[in-house]
Amino acid sequence: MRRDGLPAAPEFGCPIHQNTDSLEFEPFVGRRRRSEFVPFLLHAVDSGEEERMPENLDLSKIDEVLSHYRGEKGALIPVLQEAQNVYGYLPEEVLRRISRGLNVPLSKIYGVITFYAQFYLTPRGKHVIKSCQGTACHVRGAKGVLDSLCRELKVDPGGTTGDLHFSLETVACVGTCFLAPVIMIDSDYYGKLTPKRAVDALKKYSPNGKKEEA
Amino acid sequence: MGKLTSIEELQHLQRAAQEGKDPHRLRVRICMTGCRAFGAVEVRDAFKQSVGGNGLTGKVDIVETGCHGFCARAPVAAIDPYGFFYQQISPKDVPVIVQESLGEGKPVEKILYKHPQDGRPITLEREVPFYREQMKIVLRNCGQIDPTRMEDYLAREGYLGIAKVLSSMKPDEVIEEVVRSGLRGRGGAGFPTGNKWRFARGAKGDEKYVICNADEGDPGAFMDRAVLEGDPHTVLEGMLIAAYAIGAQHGYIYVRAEYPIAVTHVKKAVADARALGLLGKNILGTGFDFDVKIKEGAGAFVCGEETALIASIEGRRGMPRTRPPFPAVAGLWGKPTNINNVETFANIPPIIHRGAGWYASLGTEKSKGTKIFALAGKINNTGLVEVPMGITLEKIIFDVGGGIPGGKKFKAAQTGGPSGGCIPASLLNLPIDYDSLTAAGAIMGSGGLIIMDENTCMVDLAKFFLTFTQSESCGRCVPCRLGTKRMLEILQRITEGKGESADLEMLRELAPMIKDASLCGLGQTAPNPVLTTLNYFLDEYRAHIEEKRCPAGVCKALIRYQIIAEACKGCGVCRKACPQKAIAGKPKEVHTLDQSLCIKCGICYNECKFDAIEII
Repeated sequence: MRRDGLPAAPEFGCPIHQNTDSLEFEPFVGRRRRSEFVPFLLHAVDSGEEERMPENLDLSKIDEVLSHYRGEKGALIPVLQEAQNVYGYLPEEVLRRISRGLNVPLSKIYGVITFYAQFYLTPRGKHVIKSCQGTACHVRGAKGVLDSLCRELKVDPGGTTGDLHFSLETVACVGTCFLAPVIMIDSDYYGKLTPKRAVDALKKYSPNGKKEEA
Repeated sequence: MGKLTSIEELQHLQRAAQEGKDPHRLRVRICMTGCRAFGAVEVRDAFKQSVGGNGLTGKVDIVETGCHGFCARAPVAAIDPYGFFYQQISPKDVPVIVQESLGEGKPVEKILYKHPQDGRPITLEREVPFYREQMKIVLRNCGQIDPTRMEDYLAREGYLGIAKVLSSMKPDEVIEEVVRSGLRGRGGAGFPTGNKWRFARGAKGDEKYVICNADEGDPGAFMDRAVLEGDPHTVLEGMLIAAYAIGAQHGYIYVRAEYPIAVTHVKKAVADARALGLLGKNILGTGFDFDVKIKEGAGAFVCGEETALIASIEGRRGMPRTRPPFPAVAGLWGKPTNINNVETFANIPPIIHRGAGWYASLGTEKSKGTKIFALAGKINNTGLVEVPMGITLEKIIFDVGGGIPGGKKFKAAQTGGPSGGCIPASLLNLPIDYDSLTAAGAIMGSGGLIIMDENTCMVDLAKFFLTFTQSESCGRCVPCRLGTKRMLEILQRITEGKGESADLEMLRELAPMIKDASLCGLGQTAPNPVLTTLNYFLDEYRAHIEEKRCPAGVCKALIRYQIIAEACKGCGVCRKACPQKAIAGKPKEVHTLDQSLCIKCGICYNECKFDAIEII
C-alpha cells in the first residue's frame, strides 16, 4: 500500500478449493460470491511449481506453523506474521504453502500482504533500522535524521543495502515520543538524535563493528 | 494458586494479597518499560548486585514496574516506604542509593528532581510539580506494581469490580451504572460508553464479542501502550465486566505489534487470569463464560477504525465498510460486537468498584473523569499525564509539562494526532474536554498532545499530517483517496514556494467535501489539521505564498543556511561534518559556505557550538 518497489503480483496459481464454505466472505460489500470464481480457478491448477523452491528454504517450518492454526477462523494474518518471523520475509514458495494450507487464494494473500506495512516480499537486511516519523519526532527534526541515514547507507526509505546488512524503514510512531527524534536499530532505541549522531549509531552494527555478534 | 471456583474465593485471595503487602517494606520501584531506552536494565542489574553486596538480600523488593509517566527524566525509580523519587539514574548512582536510602532511609540529593525555578531538590514523588496536578485513576497502578505479577494487581483492589458485578448486579444494572458515570469513549470520538454497551446488549444473537482496540496508531500517542505494559489486568477486568454486561462470550485484544513489551505483558496477564479461572468457562462458578484471544496488528493506521479492525481480525485487508449496520448489530464474523479502547476499559473497574456517582463528580458537565495525555514535542516534561477533564491547556503545558525548552515561545498544541487540530497560544485558557476541543476545530482524539514552539512551521506540520493520512488512506472511498492527495499536492506546492493565493481557497473548498463525503473517521477528520492551521495561522500560509518565505525556517526550498562571520571561530566542526563538502576555511579563520553545493541538511546548524550558523 505504501511501499515502493514491490514486485509484480505473483501469478494466479493457487490450488482448487475443496470446501468453499470455509472461505471467508466479506459481508455487506456486495461482491460476487467466491464460488462464482471457481471456474476460473479450474485451469489454474498448481503445476508442481513447488519443485523449484530454493534449496535453503525449509518448508517444514511453515507446515508446523500451519498445523497450529488448522481450522481457526481469521488465521491468515497471524500465520503470515509467524512465517515472516521464521524466514525473515515472505518467500513465494512459503505463500503457496500457506495458500494451500489455509484454503485462501494466493491473490487474496498478496492483497493482505501489500495492505499492511509489516509484511515483506523481499529479503531484508541483517539489521533493521526503523526511523520514527511520528509527530513529536517530526517537530524535533526526524526528516534530517532520515535524510542523513539515507545518504550514509545509499538507500531510499524502505530499501536494503546491497550487502543485505541494513534495511532502512520508516515507521509512523514507535511510541517513545520522549526520545524524539528516535530510531530503532533491531530492538535498541537511539533517541534525541541529530543527523550526525544517527549515523554514529550505525557504527556499532556495521560489518566490522564490535556489536556484530551481540 | 489453583483455579478459583467461587466469588468468595476470589475475595479471600484478594484480601490475602492485600494483607500480604507489608507497607513498611523496602521497595525499589523501577520503570522497566519506556525507561529501558535509557538504560533501566543496567540500573536494575546494578540494584540487584548492590543489594546483595550490602547484606540487604531478602529485605528489599526490586519491583519492575510500568511507566511512572515522567519519561523526560528516565530512567526513574521510587524508593518505598519513604516515597523518594530519583530521576536520570545511572548504574554508578545505585550503590549510593542502596547504602543511604535503603540502608539509612536518607534521600540522595544528587539525583533528586530539582525545582525548575529555584533549583531546590524535591524529595518526594508526590511533591514533584509534574505529578502534583495529576489525578491517577486509569494509571493508578502504573509505576506502582509489577504488571507481570497478578498478586500485585489483586493487592490493589484488583478484580473487585468483576466480583461485585458477578455477585450483586444484573447486566442491565451494570450498563446503567456505566451510563450514569458519564464515561465517554477514550479512543477519540467520545461516544458514551454505556450507550454503546446498551446497543450491543440489545442486539439479537447468542454469540457476541467484546474487542479491545489497542491499535494505538496516532503518531505521538503512547498512553495505551503504557496502560497495557504497566497494568494489563485492569484492561482485562474492564473487558470482563463489559462482556458480562452485554452477554458476550468471546473477546479479542487487537494490539499493535510495534509494542513488544505490551504484547508480552498482555499475554502473561491473559494466561494468569485463565489459570486462576477468571477467564474461561463458568467463571467463579457463576455460569458466566468469557475468554480472550490476542491479535497482533500488522501495521495499518486505518485499523484503529472499528470496522477496519474487525476486517483485520477476520484476516482481511483492514478496510472500513459503510455503517449501518453498526458493529453492535453485526460486527466480528457478523455477530454483535462491542469495541472499546484500552483507556475506556481501564476506567471501568474503578467506576464499578467505587461507584458511578464518584466518577461523575470528576471532570466537567459533559466530559467526566480524567484523560491521559501523551505530552511530547517541544516541551520540557515529556511523558504521560493523567489530568481531570476540564483542566486548561495552560496548566497542562506550563504547570505539569514544565513549559517550553530553551526559553522559546509556545506556538501551538496539536491534539488528536492526524485527525485533530492545532490550538494556538490565544486559546491557552481552553478547558480540555470533548466539546471545547471540537468547538475549537480540534478533537480530543486518543490523547496525543504535541507541543510546538516558534521553530515549528505550521504549513509544514499540516503537510506532515496530510502526508500521513494520505499514505494511510485505505483507498476504498474516493473523497479520502483522491481528496487527501489533491490537498497534499497543494500543500507541497506552497512549501516549495510555488503556491498561489487561489490555493488557499481550493484548500478551504476541498476540506469540507472530504469531511462530509468520506466513509470512515480517517477521511472525515483528515482535513482538520489543515483547517485549524488555516484558521489560526493564516499569516504563515500567506508568507509562504506571497513572500516565498518560511517564517519558522523549516521549509527547505524557502531557506538557506549562512555562516555568521562574527560568531565563527574557525573550529572546523561544520566543515568536517558537512556531507557535501560545501563548507571551506582554514583552522581559526572564518569559514564559508558554498550555496551551490548546500543540500540544506542542517547538520552544520546542529553541530555548531557557537551558534554561528543562521537560517535565513
